Amino acid sequence: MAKKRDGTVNTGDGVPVPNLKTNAHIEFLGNREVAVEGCKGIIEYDQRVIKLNIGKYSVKFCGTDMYMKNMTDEYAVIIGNIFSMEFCS
Amino acid sequence: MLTSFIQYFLGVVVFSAKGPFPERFMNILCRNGIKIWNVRRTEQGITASATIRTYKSLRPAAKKTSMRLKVKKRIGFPFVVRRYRHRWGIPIGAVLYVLTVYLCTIFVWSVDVINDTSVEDGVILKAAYSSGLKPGMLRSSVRPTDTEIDIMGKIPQLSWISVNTGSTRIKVVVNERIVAPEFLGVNDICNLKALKDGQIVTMDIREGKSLVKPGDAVAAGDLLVSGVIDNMEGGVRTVHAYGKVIANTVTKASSTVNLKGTLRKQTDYSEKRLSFVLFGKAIKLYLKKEPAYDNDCASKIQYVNLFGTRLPLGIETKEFIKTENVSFEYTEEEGYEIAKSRLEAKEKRDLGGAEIVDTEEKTTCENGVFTLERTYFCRENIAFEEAIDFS
Repeated sequence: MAKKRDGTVNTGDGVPVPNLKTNAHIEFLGNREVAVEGCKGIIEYDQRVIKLNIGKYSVKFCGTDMYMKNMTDEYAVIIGNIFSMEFCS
Repeated sequence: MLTSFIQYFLGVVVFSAKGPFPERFMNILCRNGIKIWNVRRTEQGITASATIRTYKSLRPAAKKTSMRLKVKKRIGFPFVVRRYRHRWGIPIGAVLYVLTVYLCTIFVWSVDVINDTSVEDGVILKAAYSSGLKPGMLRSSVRPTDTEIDIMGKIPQLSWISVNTGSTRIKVVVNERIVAPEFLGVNDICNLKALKDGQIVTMDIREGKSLVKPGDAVAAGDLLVSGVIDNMEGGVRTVHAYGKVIANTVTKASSTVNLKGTLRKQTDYSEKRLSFVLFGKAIKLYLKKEPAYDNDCASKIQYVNLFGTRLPLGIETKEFIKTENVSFEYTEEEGYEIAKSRLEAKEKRDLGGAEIVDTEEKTTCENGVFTLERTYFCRENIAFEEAIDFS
C-alpha cells in the first residue's frame, strides 16, 4: 500500500483510507461539541479560544463559553458555542 | 448515568487551580495520564473535577507549574460516610435492617390454600401441617414434591395439587377429583325391579318385556320389566330395559322427642386469654391457668395485614365460655313442634322426587317420650335398573 503526501493510503481499489496514526481526527457535533483525537497538547486555553497541538500543526477553535469536558493524553472534547476552526502551522 | 454513579461512588472533588500556566499544568496532567474533566477557564486559572485519588496526584504537577490548588466542592459517597462517621447507629441500623430482611426471607410466613373444591381449606391445611409444611419452618427445608404426594395420599378427593414455594407465602393449589358416576351403559343388559312396595298406576316402558301391568301390587325387589325377551324363533334377545313405573306407595316415618331431660347450655360468663402468634407458634400473654369449670373454648387468630399481605404474626384470642347442665321440660305441644320440624327435614331428604298424595299422623306419649308417626301416601317411580349377571 502506497502512502501519499496528504497522509491517505491507497488500498488499490481507488478508495483512499485516512491514516489515523499520523493525522488528527476532528469530529464536530453541530457547533456545540467537537472531539479531537490525536491531540498532543494544549497551547492556549481560554473561554473564547482553545488552541490544540495536533502534531505537524495546531488547530484553533474560536467561540464563547468554551471549556474542555474531557481530556486525556490523546483525546479532548470541547464544549461551547464554536464559531470557527482554524489550522495554524 | 453509569459514569455519574461511579463518580459519585468514588467521590468527586471540584477544585480550582490558580497560577500563570494553566495550559502547561493541563499538558503535564495529560502526559501523566491523570484524568480531569469539566475544565473551565477562570480569570486566574482553571476549575475542574477529579476523583479523590486523582486529586492527590495533582500536587506534583501543580508544584511544577506554580499552580495553587484549592478544593471548592466535595461530592460523593465517601464524603457522606465521613460526615456521619461518628454516628454508629446508622451502620448498625442498616446492618440490622439487612439482617432482618434476610431472616424474614428464609422462613415460611404462611401457608395459603387456593381452593375451589368441596374439600374445606382447614382439611387441606391440616394435611399440609401433618406433612411438615407449616409457618415458621425454613424455606430451604420445604420439599414440595414430597409434600404434594403426602397430601394427595391423605385426601383422596384431590386430583391434582401444587405446592408453590416462590415466596415466603407458600401457596397450595388444589383441584378436585371428579369421580365418574356408576351408571349402566346403554348397551349393558339389565332388568327393571321395584324399589318399594306399591300398587302400579301407570307404566311407560321404552325397552324390555313388561311382566306386570297397571293395577298390580308389587313388593320391593320384584321384577317389573325383563331385559331378556323371547323371540318368534324360540331364541332370546337381551336388551337394556328402561322406562318408568309409577306406583302408589306407602312410606312411614317417625320422630321421638324426650319431654324431660338435661341439656348442656352456654352461660353468659366467659373469660378471654390472649396469646401472641409468631410463625404459627403461640406465646401466652397470661399467667392464669385455664378455667377449671366446664367450658366451650373458641379460638380466633387475628393476623396483622400489611398492604393486603398477611404477616406471620398476630394475636390469638381464646374465649372460654362457661357451660352448665340445665334441666328442661317440654309440653306435648312443644314436643309435637320439634318432632314435626325433624320429620319435615327427613321428608325433604327421602321423598324429594315423590308426589305426596295424602298423609296420616299418629301421636303417642309414653314415659316422657313423645312420638310422632307419619304415613305418607305417595305416587312415585319405583323402577330401578339392575344389571343381569350372566356369570
